Amino acid sequence: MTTNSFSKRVISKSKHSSDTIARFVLKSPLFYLGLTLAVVFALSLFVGRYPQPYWMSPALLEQDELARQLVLNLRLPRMLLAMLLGMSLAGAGTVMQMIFRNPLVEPGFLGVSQGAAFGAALAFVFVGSSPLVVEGLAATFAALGMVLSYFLARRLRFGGWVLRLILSGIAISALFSSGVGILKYVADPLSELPTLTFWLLGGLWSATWSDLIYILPFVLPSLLIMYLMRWRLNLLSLDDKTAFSLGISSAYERLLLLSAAVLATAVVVSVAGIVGWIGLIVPHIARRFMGANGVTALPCAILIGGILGLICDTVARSAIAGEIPLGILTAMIGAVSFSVLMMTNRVRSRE
Amino acid sequence: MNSPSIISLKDLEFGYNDQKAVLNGFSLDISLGSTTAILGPNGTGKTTLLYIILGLLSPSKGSVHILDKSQTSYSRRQMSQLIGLVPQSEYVPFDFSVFEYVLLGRAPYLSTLQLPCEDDLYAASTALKAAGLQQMRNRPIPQLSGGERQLAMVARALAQQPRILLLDEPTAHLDLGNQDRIINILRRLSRDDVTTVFTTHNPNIASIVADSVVLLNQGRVFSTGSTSSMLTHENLSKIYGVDIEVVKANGKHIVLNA
Repeated sequence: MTTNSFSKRVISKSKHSSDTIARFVLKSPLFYLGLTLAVVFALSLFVGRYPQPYWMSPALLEQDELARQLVLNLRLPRMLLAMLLGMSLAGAGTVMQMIFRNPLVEPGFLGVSQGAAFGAALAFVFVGSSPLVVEGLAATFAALGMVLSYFLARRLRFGGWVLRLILSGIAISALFSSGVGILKYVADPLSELPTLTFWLLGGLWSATWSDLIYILPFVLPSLLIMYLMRWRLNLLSLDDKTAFSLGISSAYERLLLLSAAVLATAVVVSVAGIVGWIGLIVPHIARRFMGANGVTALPCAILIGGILGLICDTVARSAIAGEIPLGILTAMIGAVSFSVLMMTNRVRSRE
Repeated sequence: MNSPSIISLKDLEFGYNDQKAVLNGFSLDISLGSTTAILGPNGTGKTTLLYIILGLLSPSKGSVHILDKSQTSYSRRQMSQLIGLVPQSEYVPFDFSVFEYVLLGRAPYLSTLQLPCEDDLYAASTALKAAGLQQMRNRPIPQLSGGERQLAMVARALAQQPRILLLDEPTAHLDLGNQDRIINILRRLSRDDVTTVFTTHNPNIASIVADSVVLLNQGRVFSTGSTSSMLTHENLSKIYGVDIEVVKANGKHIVLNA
């Protein structure tokens, strides 16, 4: 058997010429998703409402200083944020669904989304609506929501680890959302309430380069951890006793992945408000196309998330003269694509 | 019985949450390359015993030695290269293909950030073939029948290439054909000097493959010894509490519920 495996390895090594690698890359759906993302990104740069609705000629960049400023300082950071938002939510969603062994989990459920909403509401009503304050408080309470859910779960005397975390996440989210309700009730209906409501619907209209610089140190390492552990995710989705027998310290590795996923989610939610459905639907879409294996499903989800984030945000800023809240679009597109997905037969690109 | 023992359990005591002890003063030596059946009625601690050997549960008293070293002196990773587990059942929430699932058995040989390499794929293919699942390679696990799933779990444990394989009720819910496949795998493992320990409540399976049998009753070893000396009318009738008849056919003991 050893000689066999050796000769097989030698044969397969000699086959790896650049030609077969190129053919392999061209056959990989991930390559085409990456290509799609690049094309969508390039096109989005020229979609907007300047100088006229929908399309700006690329030639204008050379002639018009205002156009150049607009693309570089408003559109580009916003598009990068939209892409990272989609990537983070989709990646975090895939990770959470796998480590919780539950395809109905979404990345904000551990008190993160509602915590962020509460923090933002607190800022709008009591502190002020400068972006720094809103993002700061939203991030703080998002993290608090996660920590509270985690410690509550440790105290619960019911069910296994997964069930306890899900239940405490539900409880902490309900607590924060009642807090948001109180703040909405006391908010000034003419000034504070509309801003708060708009923020809660999610959007990137206030995105700047500094927002991008703020989220990058959190989002990039998180995405990297998720990506590097993409095969490991499969093991963590198995029963605890199986994972144990395969030598996995599942509690430690789960906590690491969970922290990465929650951190990425908390940071993007603090900048963009509650953008639902991407984190729930994209992992399903990715699994439908690529199978459940984390090795392919996770990068696929991250790329689809980036594409969807970009498309939704481009529509949000250019479809009408005003701004459409991003959360409305993602929910609409998410709900429709989810229903279509569940009605069609499974598509799989396997050998 | 003079071959060196690979698993040595001494004076184990174990109970779940302060309740009545499941194991009480339990000692057992399992020799290298042997096939041992743990036989007993439901709720006598058969699975608990497997989990203690695996290290998933630790006894409140007593010691577990694997290859003459204390179990606690091994790292989790070393243990997983040494001992494999085929659980009684497993919930798989996602549509992994059979091959992807079997490949997970290579985890003990991969570091946290490593992906399976060519050798791992080869080991998984070999294990798949050994379990007779090569035609199902790309089928999603949730679409398999109960017996096929059982075989997939066995294949995953084979891909793990352990020195000791623990199987929890490997033939429960299996039809005769699949039972036969599992039995053949157990026999092949014993030829390859893999020590196997399996639980069963079916004395006939023990009779067919096991070298020795541990009869468990109320957390104690009721008796332990070679298969033919253990599977007797007196022993079985006593631990199961009903009259059981043992007949001999083709040199094997066949157990009948009289």
